[in-house]
Amino acid sequence: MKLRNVLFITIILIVGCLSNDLMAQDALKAMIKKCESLDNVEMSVVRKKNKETLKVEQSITTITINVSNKALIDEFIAACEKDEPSAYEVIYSKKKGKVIPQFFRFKNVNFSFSYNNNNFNFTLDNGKYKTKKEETLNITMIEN
Amino acid sequence: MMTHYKYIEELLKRFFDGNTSNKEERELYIFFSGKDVPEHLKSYIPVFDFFETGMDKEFNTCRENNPKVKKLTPNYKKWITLTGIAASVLLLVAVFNKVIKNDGTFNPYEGSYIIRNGEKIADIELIRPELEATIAKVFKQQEKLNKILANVNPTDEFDRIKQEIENQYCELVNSFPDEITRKKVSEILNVECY
Repeated sequence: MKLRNVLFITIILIVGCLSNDLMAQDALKAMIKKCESLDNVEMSVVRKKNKETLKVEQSITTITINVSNKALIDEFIAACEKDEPSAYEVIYSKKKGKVIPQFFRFKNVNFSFSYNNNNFNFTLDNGKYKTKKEETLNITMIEN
Repeated sequence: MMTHYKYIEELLKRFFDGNTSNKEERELYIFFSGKDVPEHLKSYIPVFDFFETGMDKEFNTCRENNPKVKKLTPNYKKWITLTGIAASVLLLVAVFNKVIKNDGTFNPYEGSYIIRNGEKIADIELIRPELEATIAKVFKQQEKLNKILANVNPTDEFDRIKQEIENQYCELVNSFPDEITRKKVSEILNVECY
């Protein structure tokens, strides 16, 4: 009876640890998934495959959000706060008086956030190209 | 004739002991079904009549009451055969896929795509320059982050070098004979030597 109880508790602990790892970056991953369907977000997904094994060895997802999209940026910051306890490396930086996440590392995935104010947005207006310099937030997710 | 009867009696004895062959039993049946059965052996006529015809009657009656049950063949043989066929088909499909799909053209970015203005672009040749630019940009970003992390988490090598430098400084400090000089040198080098 005792042995059965010990085994049961061991299994529960192992399952708990594994599920903790699996759920570690759920909020951030959910945000990345959400961005796939948004119109005002640019996204690129790069999958690097190993030539020998033909398996994906690294997946890089980058998202570019215009800083004017404050609601979406706030959602990302909230997701960071939710996943922070599961991250084992966290870097925050201060920008314009606001503390924002810069880097989160989890077991097999890491997220980095950077502001870029050298983005040029080209739009066609009456047959002529107009350029507009805009600041963007770039979010990169690297999965190994 | 007497010898023949003696022979029949011998056969009878062996018959009831269960030691007669089919041929010998057949001889008994023929004898007792004939007309020349002696008086002292006539009591055995119904017995051989039963064995000759009664058993058949009884067997047929039994068969009528209990219809013949169909003999079941083991199902596991059928399942093993079916499983073997399914496994062979799967193996063939897997080999076929590997041979046909592995036509020598390897694209390391297979599965990559870009979403712009809600539109997904998956043509690798079209977006390849952008993918490579993204990888280069991410690589630089990671280098920058690794530098930040290295400052926060010094590596073992960094600690070792730092410790070695401090040891050299302490050797220099301790080489001075008087305590006042040693203290001044420690302050200049910013080390604490014990």
